[in-house]
Amino acid sequence: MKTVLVLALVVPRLALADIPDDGARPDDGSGAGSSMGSSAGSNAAPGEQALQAPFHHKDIVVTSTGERSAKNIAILASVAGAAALIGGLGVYYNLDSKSASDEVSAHRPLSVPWTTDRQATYDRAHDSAVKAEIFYGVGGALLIGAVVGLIVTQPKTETTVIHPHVAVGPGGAVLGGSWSF
Amino acid sequence: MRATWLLLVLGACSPEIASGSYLCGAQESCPPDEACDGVTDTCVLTSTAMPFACDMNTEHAGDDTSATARPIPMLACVSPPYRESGCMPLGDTADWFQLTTPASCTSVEIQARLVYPVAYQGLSLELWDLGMNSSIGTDVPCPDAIDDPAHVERCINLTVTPGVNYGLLVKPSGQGACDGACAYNRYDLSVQLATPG
Repeated sequence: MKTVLVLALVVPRLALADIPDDGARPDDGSGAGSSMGSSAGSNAAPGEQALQAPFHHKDIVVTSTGERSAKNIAILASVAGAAALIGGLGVYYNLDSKSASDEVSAHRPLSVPWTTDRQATYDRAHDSAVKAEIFYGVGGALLIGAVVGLIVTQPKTETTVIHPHVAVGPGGAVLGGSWSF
Repeated sequence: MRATWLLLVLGACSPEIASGSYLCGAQESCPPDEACDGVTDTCVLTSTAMPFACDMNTEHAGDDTSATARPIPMLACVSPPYRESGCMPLGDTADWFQLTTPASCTSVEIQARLVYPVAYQGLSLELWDLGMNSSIGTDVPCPDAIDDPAHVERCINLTVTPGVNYGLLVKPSGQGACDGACAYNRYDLSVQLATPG
């Protein structure tokens, strides 16, 4: 929206700089109209000649922001959702691994023997850690894919500039415009 | 702050076990990267683990038969526990102890208790009547055993005849010997006499 406003305010003035100064701008109030009239006023009344000069108006800039298709949104949402789900599984296994790890970790003599139960807990800690790493990896890859997809499939913004001009002659007026994209 | 908390919660997923934290489990089981130290019965770094060895004066050569049993001093009819530390190295199949019940007792009960680490081969205890040359009692789990998962306690409480020679036989039970790789153990034997009932 800001872009549109800036373009609407700035672009017309820049565009006007390229236009040959062969007419008066009705809004400049500089008296150019009268000077033009005096230079071309040999065949007609000064007031009539001034009316025949074309009027160039401010350019109209139309900026249209493209919208994502429902399919694009669905795909990106699915990928992002899968990333969140798999990442959540990673967190689950990470916490399970940490819980099991805390259960068997020891930093001082405990006066208890190593048992098959403790070995099973140790194995669970290791297995869950591996699962957590895998799920984190897959979830992270999907998340990156979703972000890249979001950027790559960003709809393009189209800007149309309309150069309106009005020429008033003895028999009427001509209203015209040219478009640039 | 939240990121730090998250790292603390999610981090450190691998168990950290310091050397010497755990005692050796059944059949010398230990945490990965550790091995059973045969001297201290604790799990230590594999590179520092020592092989099993009997403590000094715990292995007595020539006690493998009832005829050459290691004598236990004469006990009173009601006695405090007499304690003996023993060891059965690889290849040792029997340790015999001999005691005589006092003839002056009107009735007497032998209370024997065998305690050994769970880390090595299992042991069993038998009570023999040496005059009859027959086994009259085998061990059972001790009714008053303390909760010590690192050791096994086996007991024999049996009413016997005063003035008779008895033998206590400690031998491998045939279990928990790591397929022969840990067919050794050390033990504590305590014997006392008491009035039956």
